[in-house]
Amino acid sequence: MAKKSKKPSFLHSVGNKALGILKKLALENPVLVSGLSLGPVVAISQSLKAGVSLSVAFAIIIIPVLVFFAFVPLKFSKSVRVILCALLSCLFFIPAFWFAKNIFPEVSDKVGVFLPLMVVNPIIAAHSGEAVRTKKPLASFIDGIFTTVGFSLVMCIVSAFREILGKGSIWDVPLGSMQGNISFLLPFMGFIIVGFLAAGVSKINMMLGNRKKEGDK
Amino acid sequence: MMQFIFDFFVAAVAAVFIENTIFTRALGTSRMLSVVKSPRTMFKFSILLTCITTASGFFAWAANLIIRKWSFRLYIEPLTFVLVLILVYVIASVVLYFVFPNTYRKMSEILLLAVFNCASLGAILLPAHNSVISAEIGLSSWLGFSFGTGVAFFMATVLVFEGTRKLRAPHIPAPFRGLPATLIYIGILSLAFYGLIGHELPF
Repeated sequence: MAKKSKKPSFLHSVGNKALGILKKLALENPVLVSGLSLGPVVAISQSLKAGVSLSVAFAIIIIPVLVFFAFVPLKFSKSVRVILCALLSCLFFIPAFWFAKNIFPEVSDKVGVFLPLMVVNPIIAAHSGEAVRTKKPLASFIDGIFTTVGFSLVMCIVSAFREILGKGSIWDVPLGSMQGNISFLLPFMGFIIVGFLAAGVSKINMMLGNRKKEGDK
Repeated sequence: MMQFIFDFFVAAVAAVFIENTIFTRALGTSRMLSVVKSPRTMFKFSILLTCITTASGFFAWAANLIIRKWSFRLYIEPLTFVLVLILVYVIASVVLYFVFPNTYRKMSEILLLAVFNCASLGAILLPAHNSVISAEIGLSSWLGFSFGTGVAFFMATVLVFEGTRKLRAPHIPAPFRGLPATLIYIGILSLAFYGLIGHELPF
């Protein structure tokens, strides 16, 4: 008699979905695992406002670009696609810059060239290639959302950490009598903090990899 | 002529040692981490990047003369300089294709990466921003800064390449192997450069 396969319980399937989302956001994070878009995360993440401002600008640029690229024919050469990606990003930079200038006016001057540099962000270029291959606008839209959340998580965590320790404030609100240390606001500390975060994600990936191997045994 | 050479040299040295694109502003770090795996690719990419940034510096200076007085300049600045990069890419591709076709076949992929990245766009955006904030930057300083950015990228890549060879040692803890250790190493180099400057640079 054939054995009846056991249906996964509701909790088991919810757990699997949650793990899938965690994997997408943290364990396959474009900044901490692939080392993409390190410039803004390392240099500009000096305050949570700057982190949020750049994250929203990133979302305004990447999501429509990825949806558009789902309609780009595969026969276009790589150079044409890269040029098209850069030009489209420049187009969507206009509303992104308007948003940053009007919603976070004090921050838009401080982020300097890093806001316009979003148009050649390597994450956008990498994911636009994927969008051309899959040819699914909805999947590209969801990919854009997840990529934005993944980038924003790292950006905001590093920004908040550096603002608390560097300025003794969060969202420009002082935290009691806490005095910050300016060294946390310099680029070298950004590299070191992101390095340790990447090591943490690497450790979690290794643990999950080992657990999967034990489950297969 | 002497003044041109002097301004060019000063701006280039500042771009290499004081405003190093990787260590002080983290521009082009992702691209550097991808090319640092092979010395050949590293060398080719750096040479191409230096030529691209220098050539685009000239066209960007000319474009900036036109757009810098416009009220909506900041909205169209990236588009203007991306068009400059596209122009330089097309010129470079045409020259390589017709004059050095074998080289073009080998380097076309790297040429594309060398043109469209944060380091090359940053090399022309930074002088444009400085020319608005402070006095107008002349062509010599603009070219010097763009050339210096390419040289700075090459120098940073060599330093990181040498460091990553040591970082493959087995006594490095497993979670830190690869990207994490490399980032911490670049952070320590960046600290050394901060010691040279002594203050934070404007972005």
